[in-house]
Amino acid sequence: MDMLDAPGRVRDLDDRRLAGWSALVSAWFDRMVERTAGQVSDAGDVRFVNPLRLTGPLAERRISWDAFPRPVKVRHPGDPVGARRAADEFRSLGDYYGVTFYSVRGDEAEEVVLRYRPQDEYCEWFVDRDPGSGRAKRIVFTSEGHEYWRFLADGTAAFEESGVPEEFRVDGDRALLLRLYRELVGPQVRKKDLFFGTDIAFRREPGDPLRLFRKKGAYNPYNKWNTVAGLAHLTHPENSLHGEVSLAAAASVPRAGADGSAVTDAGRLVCCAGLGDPNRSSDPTIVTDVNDLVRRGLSVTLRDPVGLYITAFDDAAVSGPDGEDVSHWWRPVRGSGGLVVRAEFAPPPGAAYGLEEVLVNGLPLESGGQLAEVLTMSLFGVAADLGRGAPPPIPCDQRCCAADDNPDVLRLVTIGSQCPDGWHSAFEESATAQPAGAAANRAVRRAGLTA
Amino acid sequence: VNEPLLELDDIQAHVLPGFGHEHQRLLGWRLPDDEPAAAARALLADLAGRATPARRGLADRAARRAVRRGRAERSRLSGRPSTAVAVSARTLRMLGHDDLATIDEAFTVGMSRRSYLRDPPAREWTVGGPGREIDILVVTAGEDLERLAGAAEEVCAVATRAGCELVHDQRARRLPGDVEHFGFRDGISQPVLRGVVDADGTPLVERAPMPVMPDHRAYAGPGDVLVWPGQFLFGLPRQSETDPVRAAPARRAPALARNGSLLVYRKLEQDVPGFLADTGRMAAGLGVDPERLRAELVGRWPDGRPLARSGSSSGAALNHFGYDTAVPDVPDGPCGADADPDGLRCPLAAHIRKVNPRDQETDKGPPSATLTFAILRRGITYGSAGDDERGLLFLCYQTDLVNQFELLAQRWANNPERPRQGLDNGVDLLIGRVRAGTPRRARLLAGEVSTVADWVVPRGGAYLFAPSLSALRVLAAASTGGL
Repeated sequence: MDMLDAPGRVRDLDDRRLAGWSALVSAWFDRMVERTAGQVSDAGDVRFVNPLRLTGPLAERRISWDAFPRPVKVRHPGDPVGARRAADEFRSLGDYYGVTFYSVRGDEAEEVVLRYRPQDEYCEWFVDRDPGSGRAKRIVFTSEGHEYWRFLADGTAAFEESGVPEEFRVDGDRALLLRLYRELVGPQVRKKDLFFGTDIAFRREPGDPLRLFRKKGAYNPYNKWNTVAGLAHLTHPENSLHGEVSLAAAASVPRAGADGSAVTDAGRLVCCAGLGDPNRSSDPTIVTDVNDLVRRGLSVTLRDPVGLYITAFDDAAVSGPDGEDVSHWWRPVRGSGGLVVRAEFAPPPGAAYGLEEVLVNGLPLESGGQLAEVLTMSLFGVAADLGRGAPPPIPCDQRCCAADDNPDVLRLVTIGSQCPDGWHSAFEESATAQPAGAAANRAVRRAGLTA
Repeated sequence: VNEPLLELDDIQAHVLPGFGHEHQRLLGWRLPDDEPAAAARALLADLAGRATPARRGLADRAARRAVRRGRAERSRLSGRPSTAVAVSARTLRMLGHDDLATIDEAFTVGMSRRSYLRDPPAREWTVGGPGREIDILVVTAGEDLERLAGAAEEVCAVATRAGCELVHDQRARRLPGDVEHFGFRDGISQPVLRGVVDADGTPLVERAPMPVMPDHRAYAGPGDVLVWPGQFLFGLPRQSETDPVRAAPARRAPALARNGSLLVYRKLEQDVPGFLADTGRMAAGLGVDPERLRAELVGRWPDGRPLARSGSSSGAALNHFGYDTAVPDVPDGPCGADADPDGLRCPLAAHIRKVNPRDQETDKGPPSATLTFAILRRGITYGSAGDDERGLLFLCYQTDLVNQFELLAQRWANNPERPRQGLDNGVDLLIGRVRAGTPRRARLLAGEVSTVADWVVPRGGAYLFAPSLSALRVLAAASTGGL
C-alpha cells in the first residue's frame, strides 16, 4: 500500500488531491508516532505505526460504540426525553475552549458565537424540515470529520502540518465543496455562506490580546448549512479524524497504576492516560481495545481508509403507524463497501405517510436522537506482530474525579492533584504516581485550536 | 459503605426475595370499559391486603431452606399462599397517576410496541394481545395446590365482582432440580442486593470474607456480586456505571414509586423436540457430542457447572469465575478459576455470556457498567414433558426497562457482535431473535452453527409496575382527579 484513501472511499477528489490527502493523513500518523516516542522511555517501545509502513499479516479489529452521546445521557439519568432534547441543543465553541471568538474587521472586533453540536460520539444528525410546512423531510446522519471538508476547501494549506512533503501540497477545490454542499444539504447553499467573511480571532480574558483563529476567506465548518440549517460533516471539536488518530496512538501505550499493575479496564485506562472524554462511549472503548492489542505484543494502527463509520442501524426499532416495515427508509448516502459516512432516514417517493407518523419502539419519531440510540458506530484497527513484544507500561498521567451528585459523570485531573469541591476520586485510585507525558495529552485536546 | 434500609414491610416479596414456592398461578385482569378506575380500585383494595411483604417472603424462604436441608419439619412451612400484584401503565393513568404511568418510557409504551425486541406481532400473542392487554397481574404462589386454588378463587371472585375480565390464567410449576425444559438448571446467577434490614445495620445478605477480586466489584460471597438496590427498587440508591462500589443517586421517580419495581412478564414457549433435534443435527455436522454442543449454547452443563471453569464445580463454585481475569481461591470456599477472555472454554455466544459478560469489557463500557444492567429474575417453568405447550414464564424486576431487560435482550442477545464487540460471534441461540426468515447463527468452539428455527417463541406478556404495599393502598383508596 502506498497511499491512504479518503474516508469511506468516497470518490470526490482527483488523483492529485487524493495523493495530497494521503500525505496529510500519513503526516498525522508520523507525528503521532513521534509523540508516542516522547511518551515512552525507549523509542523501541513504540507500538503505533503509520498504516503505510505496516507490512506483513494483519489482523483487523472492529471497534464499535453507540451513536447517541453518552456524556449527554449520563447527565440526564432516567430521562431519555431530556437527554434527546439536550443532544439537539447547539453549544458554543468558545465555551468549549474557554475563549471568546471575535469577528475582526480592521480595528473593530465584534463578539461572534460559533456553534457546534454536543453529539460527540463521532456521529451527528440533523432533522431536515420543509421550510414551508415545517414538516420533517429526512433525518441525516454523518460521521465525516471536519478535516476532509477543510481539505476540500483549502487543500493541505488548511492545516499547519509541516510533515506533508512539498510535492504533495495541493490546493483545495471550492467548486467541488460547493457542489457537495448543494448535493447533500440543498441547492440553496451559496458559496459565500461557506467561508468566514472576516478574520476570526479569540482571547481567553477580556484584556488579552486577540489571537487569530481563522483567516477571512477560510472555510467555516460552523457555517449555517452545517449547523442550524443543515449538515455536511461533524462539528463537535472532539469529533475529528485527527482526534481519532491521536487517540489510537495514545492508546497504544500500556499503563500501570501506582502499584505497578497494568491498567486494563476501560474506565480506569481512559482516566489514567487522560485521553478524550471519559464520559463518552467511543473513547474508552477505542482506548481499551487498542491497548489490549499492544499488551498482547502487537503493533497497531488504523485501517485504511482512516475514518469513522456508521456500521449498523437496528431497523426493527422503526415501524409505520400500523406496524408497517419502514426499514428501507434508512439509506446510506456516502461511503462504499460498508464504510458508510453519511446516511439518512426518509420516506421514499410516494410514501403514504411521513416521518411524523413513524414509530420508534412505539414512540412517535420526534428527534434524531431516537434513531441515534439504535445506531452503531465503528472504526477499524489493524494489528501486526512485528516481533517486538509488549512494551513496559508507563505511569498514569491523570485520574478521574466523579461528581458527588452523579458518580457517572467523570472529569479528568492531573495525577497528584485533588478533586475539586463537589467531586470525589473515581475508582478510588491512588494519586501518588508521577505524571508522564501529560502535556502531550493535553495537546490532544487543544489540537482543534491549532491543527 | 453506608447501605440503605430496605423496608421489608413495604416491598413486595415477589421482588425480594422472590417466590420460591413450587406452584404459581398468574391471573391477568383487564379493566372494564365502563368505570375502569372504580373497578381497579375495588380490585386493588382487596389485593393490597393480600400482597405479600418481603419480610414474610424472607421468613418463608428461610423455612423452606430449613426443611429442604432437613433442619426443620415440613409442618414449619406456613402453607399460606403468597401474592404479588402489578399494574399496567393504563391502569395507573385510569387511576389518575400519570406521573407513575410515565415513570419509564418503555413501560409507558408497552411491550407489544417495543419493536426492536423482534417479538412476533402482538396480534399473534396468546398473552396480552390486542384487546386482551393485562391491566392488573396477580401472581399467587404456594406449596399446596388446594390452598393456592382457594386463594386464586378468592381473587377471581373479587375481580369479577369489580367488573374485571380474566384475560390470562396461567398455571406454573417449578421442575425438579430447578431446571428449565431444555434440561438446564436455571436461576443460578442473581445479583445480591445491598441494603440493611434493621437499625443495627444487619445486611440483607450476610457477607462472607472474600479476597480482593480482580474485577474491583464487591461480593457478598463467591459469585454473589453486590448491587445497589436502586437497580430494582425505586427510591433507593442505584448502581454507578463507572464505579462498581459506590452508589449513584436513586432514579428520579414520584414518591409513590418508592419500593416499587418494574416487572417484565413474558411467556416463552419452548420447542423441546425441535431444540433436541436441531442441536443434534448441529452436533452431527460438527462431529461433537450433542450434550456438549447444548452446554456450549447455554454456557453451563445441565447441572449448572460453568464451562468457563475447568474441572468440577458445585455449590458456590458454580458462580465463582470471571471471563477476563482469573479469580482467586476463596479461603474456606471454592478454589480459583482461570480466565477465558477469548471464549476458548465458554463460547462468546453462550447464553450466560451474552446476557451477563461479568468482568469483561463490553460495547457499553467497563464491567462496572454491566452491573447496572442486572435484573432480578423471577421466572418459573410451565407445562410438563407430556404437554403440547411448555416453557418458561420469564419474569424479572428492574427500575429501567430500556437499560436493563431491553438492553440484555435487544442489544446483546439479538446482536451477533455484542456484548464482546468487534468479533462476530453470532446471537444468543436460546433467546436471540433476528429478522424473520433469517438464519440465527452462533460461533461455538468447534465451529459455527445456524438454524432457521426458533426454539423459544415469545407468546406475549406485559410491562407492569409492582407497587409497594403502601402504594397499593394509595392506588386503591383515593381518586387524584383521573378518569
